[in-house]
Amino acid sequence: MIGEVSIFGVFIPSLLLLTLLALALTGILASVLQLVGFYRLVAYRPLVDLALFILLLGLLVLASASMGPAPL
Amino acid sequence: MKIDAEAVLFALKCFAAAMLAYYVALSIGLTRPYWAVTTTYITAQPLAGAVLSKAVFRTMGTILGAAAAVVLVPTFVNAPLVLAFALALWLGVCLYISQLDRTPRAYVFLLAGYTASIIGFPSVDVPGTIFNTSILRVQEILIGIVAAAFVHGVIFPRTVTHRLFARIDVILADAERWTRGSLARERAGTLDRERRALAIDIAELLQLSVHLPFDTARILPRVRTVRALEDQLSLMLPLASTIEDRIDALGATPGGVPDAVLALIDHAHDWLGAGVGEPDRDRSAQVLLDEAHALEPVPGESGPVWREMLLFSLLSRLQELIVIHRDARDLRDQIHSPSIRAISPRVADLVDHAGNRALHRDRGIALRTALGTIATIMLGSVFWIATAWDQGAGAVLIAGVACALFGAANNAAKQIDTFMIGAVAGILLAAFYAFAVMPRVTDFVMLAAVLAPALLIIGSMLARPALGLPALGSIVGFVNSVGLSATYSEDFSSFVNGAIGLISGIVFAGLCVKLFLTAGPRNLVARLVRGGWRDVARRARGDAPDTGRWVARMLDRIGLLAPRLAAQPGDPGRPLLDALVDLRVGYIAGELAALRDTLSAEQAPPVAATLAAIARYFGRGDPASADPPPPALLDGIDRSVAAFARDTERARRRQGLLLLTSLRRNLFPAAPPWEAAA
Repeated sequence: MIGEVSIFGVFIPSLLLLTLLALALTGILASVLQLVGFYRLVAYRPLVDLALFILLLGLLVLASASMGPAPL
Repeated sequence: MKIDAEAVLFALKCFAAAMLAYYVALSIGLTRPYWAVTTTYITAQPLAGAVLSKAVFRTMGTILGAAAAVVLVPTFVNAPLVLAFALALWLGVCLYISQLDRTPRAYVFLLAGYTASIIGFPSVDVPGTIFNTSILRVQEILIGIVAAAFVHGVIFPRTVTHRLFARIDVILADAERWTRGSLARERAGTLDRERRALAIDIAELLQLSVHLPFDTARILPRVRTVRALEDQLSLMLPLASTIEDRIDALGATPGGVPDAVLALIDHAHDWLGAGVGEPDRDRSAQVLLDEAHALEPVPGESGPVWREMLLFSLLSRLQELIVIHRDARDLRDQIHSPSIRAISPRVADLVDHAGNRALHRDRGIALRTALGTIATIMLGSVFWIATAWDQGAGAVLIAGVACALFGAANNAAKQIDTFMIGAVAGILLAAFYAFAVMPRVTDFVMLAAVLAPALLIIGSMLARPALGLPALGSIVGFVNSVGLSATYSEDFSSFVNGAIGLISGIVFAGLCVKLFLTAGPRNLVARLVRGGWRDVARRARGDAPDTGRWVARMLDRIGLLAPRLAAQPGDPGRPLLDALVDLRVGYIAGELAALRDTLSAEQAPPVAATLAAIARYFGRGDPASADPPPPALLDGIDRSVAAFARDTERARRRQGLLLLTSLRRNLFPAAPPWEAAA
């Protein structure tokens, strides 16, 4: 995982970017699951959403770890 | 008792979110953790979906605003006054946009506007830190938002869906009750007031439905289904009063209302009381519809034309009313249905045709708020830069934020005053904490423990609508000055300086709001009425062919009018009833305008003249002068009726006479019955 990403000269912690990305992905995934009726099979939706977010964030962090310290 | 339990739970959740955010921000080593703490309180709302939607909007707005600050500050860094103007202009533009969008989505632009100020103004003296401050702000806000969303969304969430279900059931029951009142020919004063409440209820449904996609309930209804229900509810109001009017008018003609029709009305009345709630409402409604259809006369074929026209109008509106109540109930069932599949083809059709809701927009007021805010910031900046007051930046930014938050409100000055009382109380409390309690605190757990009483009490105030505003003020005052920084520093002079800056900023905003943004409620009411008239004129000219959108906008105005008129002395009913009549006139005028291409050579000139006269009458633009519709308009209507009555094409005759009857009754309720010779 890279420490910071430079966007127009502003150094942004990459965890911040990944968190935003994971939040957006969770939102999209949740609405898809809502559409197919997945949440009917679930006892407590907020926990499932939370777990999804953490899984996605973890995956993103793992995926970006291989990029090493090279600039994006 | 129940509200107390809710408030306590809410306060606990807020406190948990605040401490979580504070802890995370501290562990990461961010320098202004109080931004994250304030955010958890600002985002907190009783409904889970609303918290999440506000969180998303706030994130987007903060990023946008931080980006603006990063662009603006380095560009104008050499001229502080120009930079202040650029930031003020940005806030003004964002404020203008956010006021034109009257849904919760407007929060994105509000935040974009004042985030740039919050980051930009303190950086005027130290422009080198702008990049750090921006990214810090975004991170702190994001931590606060995620903490709030996590706590409010996961722990005992109060879902929007749950509230929506409850509201829909109440609204439908109300609507059915007062429709029955109309059919039973009751004219109670309370009935009228209840009916006007519908416009406000529809507005509430709209606001709730914006939060719907963010809700955490297991089964979410589709937003479009709620929109379709709003459409149906919108049409109930004008229909019920039309039917009342037709029954009255028929009763005044020789012969009165025929007995068979009276019996039908009673059946419809009973059906609304019982049959409409049953699952087999489709069948029972069809029985009524068939009955009504069988009774329809064909105007111009037998008997006096005017009486037949009234009767025909009554029966066809009654059928529409039955269909609308049936559809509304079907849609309610669809909203409750766990599947996203339509429960019947009719419902699928309704949902497909659900239009986007159009809202009343007042560009003038939005522009005035934006300009007033810009002027406030500029006046403050000139004072601050000229006197080199070191707390000036803080004062100016608070003034700008206060204008942005409250400037659009009806009673902006009063709201700012209330907010200030809260802020002063918060700062006094913070002084006690900062210099008597905090020096003895050694670790995080102890800090949380000593903060708990203050934050819990303010949190439970936040949950009560009447105390929400001062509570918000005290949160901002308390959290910002109590010293929730990475390290404790006992510095009384900087505390007092900061407090003076904060309070003088709010006082200054209050003064400027009184100077620049003083629209008395009466002025706003007049603007709303005039906006409605312009729309009616537009529709009579055939420029507003989308009926759903047009009706939605008119009803939105009525919803805005109702609470403003209720706050005024005198009789609030009159302008509201007028607004309902305007709605009906505009509706019919639009339908007539849509017919224009199909008219015969004999019908076209009088219809065109009638529409032009309506457009002229409603386009004159001064609601204060209460001159009645001109007699030439009545003449135009009567000539159009004569032309339609002679029409040999049956469908066109029916349609034309139906519309003209309504038009004549609404514009000239006192005129004598139409006669062929006239």
